Amino acid sequence: MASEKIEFLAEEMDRLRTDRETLRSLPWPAEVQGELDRLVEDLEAQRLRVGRAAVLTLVGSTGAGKSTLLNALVGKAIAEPGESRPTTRQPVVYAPEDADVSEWLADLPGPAPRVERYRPSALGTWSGQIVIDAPDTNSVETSHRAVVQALAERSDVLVVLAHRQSVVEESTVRFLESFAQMRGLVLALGHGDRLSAANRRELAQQLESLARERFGWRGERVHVLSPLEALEDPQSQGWPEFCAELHSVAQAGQLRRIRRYNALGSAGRIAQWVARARPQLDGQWEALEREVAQATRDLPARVLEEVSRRLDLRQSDLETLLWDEVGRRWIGPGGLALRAGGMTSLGLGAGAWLARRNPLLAAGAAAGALVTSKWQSRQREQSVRGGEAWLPSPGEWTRWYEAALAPVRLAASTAEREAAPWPSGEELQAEFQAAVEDALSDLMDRELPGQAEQAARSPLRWAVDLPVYAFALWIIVRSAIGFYEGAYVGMDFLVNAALLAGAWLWLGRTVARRWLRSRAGRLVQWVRARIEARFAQVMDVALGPLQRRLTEQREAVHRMCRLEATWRAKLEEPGDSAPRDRVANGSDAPSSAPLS
Amino acid sequence: MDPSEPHPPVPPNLESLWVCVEARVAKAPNETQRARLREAEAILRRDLLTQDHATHLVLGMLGPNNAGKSAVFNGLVGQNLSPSRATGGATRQLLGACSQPDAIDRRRFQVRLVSPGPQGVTEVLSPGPPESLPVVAVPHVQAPFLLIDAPDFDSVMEGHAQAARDLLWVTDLAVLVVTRHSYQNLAVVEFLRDWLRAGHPYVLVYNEAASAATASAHAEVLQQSFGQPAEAVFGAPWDEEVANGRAPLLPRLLEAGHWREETLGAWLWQQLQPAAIQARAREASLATVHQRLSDWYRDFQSRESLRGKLHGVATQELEAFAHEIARSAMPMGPILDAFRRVLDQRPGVWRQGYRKGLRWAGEGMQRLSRKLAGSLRPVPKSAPEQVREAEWQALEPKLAPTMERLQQRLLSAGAAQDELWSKLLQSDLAPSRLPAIREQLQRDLETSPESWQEFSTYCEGLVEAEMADRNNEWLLQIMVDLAHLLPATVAAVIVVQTGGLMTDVAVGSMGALSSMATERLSKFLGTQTAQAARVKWAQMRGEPWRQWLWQALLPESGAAWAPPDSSQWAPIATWLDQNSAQAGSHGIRESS
Repeated sequence: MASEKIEFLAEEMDRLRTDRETLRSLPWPAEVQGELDRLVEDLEAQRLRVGRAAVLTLVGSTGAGKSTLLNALVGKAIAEPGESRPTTRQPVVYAPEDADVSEWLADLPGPAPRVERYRPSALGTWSGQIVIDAPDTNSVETSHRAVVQALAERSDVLVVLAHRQSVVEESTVRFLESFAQMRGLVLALGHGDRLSAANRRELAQQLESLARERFGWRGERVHVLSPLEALEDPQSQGWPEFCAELHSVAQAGQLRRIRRYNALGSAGRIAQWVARARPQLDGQWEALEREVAQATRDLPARVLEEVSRRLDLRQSDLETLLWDEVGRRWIGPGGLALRAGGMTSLGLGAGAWLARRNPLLAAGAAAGALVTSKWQSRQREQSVRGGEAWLPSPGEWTRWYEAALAPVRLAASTAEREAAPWPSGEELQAEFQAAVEDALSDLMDRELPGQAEQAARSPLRWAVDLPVYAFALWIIVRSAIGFYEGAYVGMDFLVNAALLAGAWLWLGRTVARRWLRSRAGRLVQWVRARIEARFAQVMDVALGPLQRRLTEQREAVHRMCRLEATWRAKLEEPGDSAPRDRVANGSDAPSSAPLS
Repeated sequence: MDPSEPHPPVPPNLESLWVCVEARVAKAPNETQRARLREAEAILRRDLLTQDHATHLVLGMLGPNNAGKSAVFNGLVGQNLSPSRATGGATRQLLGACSQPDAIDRRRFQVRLVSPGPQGVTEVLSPGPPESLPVVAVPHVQAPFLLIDAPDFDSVMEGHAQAARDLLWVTDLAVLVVTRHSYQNLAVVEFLRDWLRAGHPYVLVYNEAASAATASAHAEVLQQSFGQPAEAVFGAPWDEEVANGRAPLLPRLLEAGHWREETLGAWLWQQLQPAAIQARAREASLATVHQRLSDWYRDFQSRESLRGKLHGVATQELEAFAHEIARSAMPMGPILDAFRRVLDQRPGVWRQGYRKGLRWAGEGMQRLSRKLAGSLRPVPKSAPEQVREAEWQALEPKLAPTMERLQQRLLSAGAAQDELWSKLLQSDLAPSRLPAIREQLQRDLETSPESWQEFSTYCEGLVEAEMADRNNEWLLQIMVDLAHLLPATVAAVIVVQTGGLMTDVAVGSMGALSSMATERLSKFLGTQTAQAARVKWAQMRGEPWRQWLWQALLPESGAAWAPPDSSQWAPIATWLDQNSAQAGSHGIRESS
């Protein structure tokens, strides 16, 4: 096989193994799990055999004459045929003297095979292939089944030897079916000397149609043999043709073709098993994705609802913060008036009331009110920034988290429930918390100043401030004129003027606050939208591994379903026959198709 | 066998056993169970309950593919009736031969008389029920014998194994035909071992023997594999004439490694004692029925215990959840009211007057605050509505997690072992059913009957008992009054003081005070009374919740786990019990 093909196979096998592991946690029936493992292992073993000698195993029911056949092929008695069933217990390996079979023989069940050596020659039947006389496939010695199974797994070609009573025998047919299309098959009917010509034809025909139907066999002829006669006469009927086929099987070109056929057969069976399970898997994935989408919607929506409720409650705080912020930017009496909270107003009012009797006390009251107001606004800012108070309590959070995640886990299969990367509740909660805190600090550091900048426009500022300045100027001019003229303005005049200015500023402040209230509403909406977007991101990240896992599984199934087609396109060479028709209900699963 | 000899009547309990077994066949949960019951049913109906034991002894030709069953059959009837070919597989259906086909019990076989052509019976017989049997009348076959040729049981040919198996249940004496190739086939041994172990008699025919000595040795090995000796061993050497159908196959007796002159036919007609064989066959059949039914019953019981376990686990889980819902929404109102009512009914003029005054004050306060509050807010919900709402809030977020836990607990408790049950469970607890489950539970909740009266009466009883035990009744009375009056008073004061502006605060503080006071009260009363009330409420409300949850969460699997009616299978258990003494060794006697 060309090196590029070998490389291709090595890569494909790595991918196939990875895909197999990815799909292990899916809800396959136990027998499908086992079958997939067997097929993947078998492919790997096939790949490792590339470049080595051809291995042919004689299989068949007890009494078919396998040992006699090997003896007749070799030309001397190396295997022990017998009358008492089952005869062969120890496999006999007939191998060329230069072949290293130790690795091949390792870990075989049953008694260790006996190895007989020969010197290969390019011309005769024995050109370097390894031939094994295996135990039966149908006797009461059930331990033989495991031995012949292991031998067949390590072979390239199965030489099936049947006799009159075993052609349609169920246990042998089942055994061969498990290797259908994964091994080259040479079919032979033994004990030919005991059959009339008509019976030979009929039995050969029976075996042929069975092999075509159940094993996907594509050979040309069923050999009818009598190994006993062949021991005497190598030219006996059917024998030379049989030897020629065994010889040709071991030839490099033909062997490569058989191995390609075997690999494609195994790949095809994997594809079939996976394709058969695919509709059910698709249904399950769909359900899982639906539940994931639902959870992705539900959980953040619930948290957001809770946060929104708290935001609505704090809207007045936000309004105050916005007034303060605008006031800070508004240099002038209007700004001062805007920042003045309820406390300041009360304090200033008390100051004004006291001013006529005790100006000092009045100033003190005003200053105290200002300090209190300052402290209040700081408290307010801190309460908005602190994130803890914005989210539900841990107990409530756990309830929501469980309520959202439980349907997703219910939709997953039992194995998947343990294997899948579920997001952790604590981490998710921390992420949500961070999202809220980030949005709030963005609000305080950027959005609130920005809104304030836009809100306090200079026409408004001048409209409020200019009359105050003008009034103040007039008071000063009036006081100065009074001073020079000796007619001092009285304390009452000044207090009244201050009250008048205060009243004007109060009016301006009320108008400005009204105007700013709608802006505060917009701020709440902004922060809500921002939290929502962040929540969606958090959910995406948290459920990302799960989504990726789903995608990987889907891709693996897709690749495995297309395994045979991919390999065929890459491996097939001109001269290989057309793709086999695979019926939907293929020959790999034990079927009870009528045979008549 | 003498037809005039009265044969033992069919015991009546077998008839009722059969009725019972037949009814169970359709209810078998899996293929293995169904096969066991079907076999027991077939043996009972077609063998043990039939009336023609006096007239017919069934000889069944059984063996692997192409062993020569039909050749032996043809040799016995003396003509080429059954198609026999060297390539095998010619016999596809049962074929019978006897001298008096009319006497065959229809329960055993639906006899269809056929007449052979020059090539034997070659018509393609349409596959019918196992009871359907084409029979050829052959005067040559002696009176009690009914010879039946069968297809093989070890090939992939469709229907062959089933036809052979169906014949087993009515066979009195099996004629097992094997060859030197197939005498150690696993399929041969496995097919017959079970049947032979029950004590069924058989005759071994070793065909295509290489020599008498090897044939004897091989027959010995096969008998050892079966664990049962044959009545007699016959054999025939390999003969090409026979193999190609040009000469009849006439097996000869094989004894001590030598051929004897006696042929199978002669031995059957002359040496065999049909009555003895029949008695043994009958006992073996009874033993087989016993064994099949015991196997079935063992599986049935283990499945039954698993079913009970799953039912228990589901009940436990749902009950816990139902009680949790009920407890979380327990109303305190009825307890307080009960106290008030009990105290109101206490004797004594002073006390009565004091109570009346208090009651008047309390009601007045409440009316006032409600009037003011009602003008500003929507009318508060009634108590049952509040309870329903609280229950729903306790249920809703826990619904999906409960489903998940339920599924996991049931699967790990054993539902995963049973394919049908785990499938039902998966579909019952599929997340896609959540909206439907919610809807159903909501409907149940809305239409639930109110059981306040019962709870109130119970609370009154509790309070009565509590009061009887206590000495400081006045203290109790004051506490109850406070709990009742304080919240309303505070609320009314707030509402009146603020001119209706602080209604929110009033209602809120009323609720807070009320629950605080009730808590104080219940602490004062000691945990017992409160606990008893809580338990009562959980029972009263938990029971309907448990039922709703069962129906909503486990509609299919819950129905599958409902305890079955034991009268349907009790006769089988009784019969097995009565006959268990003899079941160990084969040879069950009919129970009278």
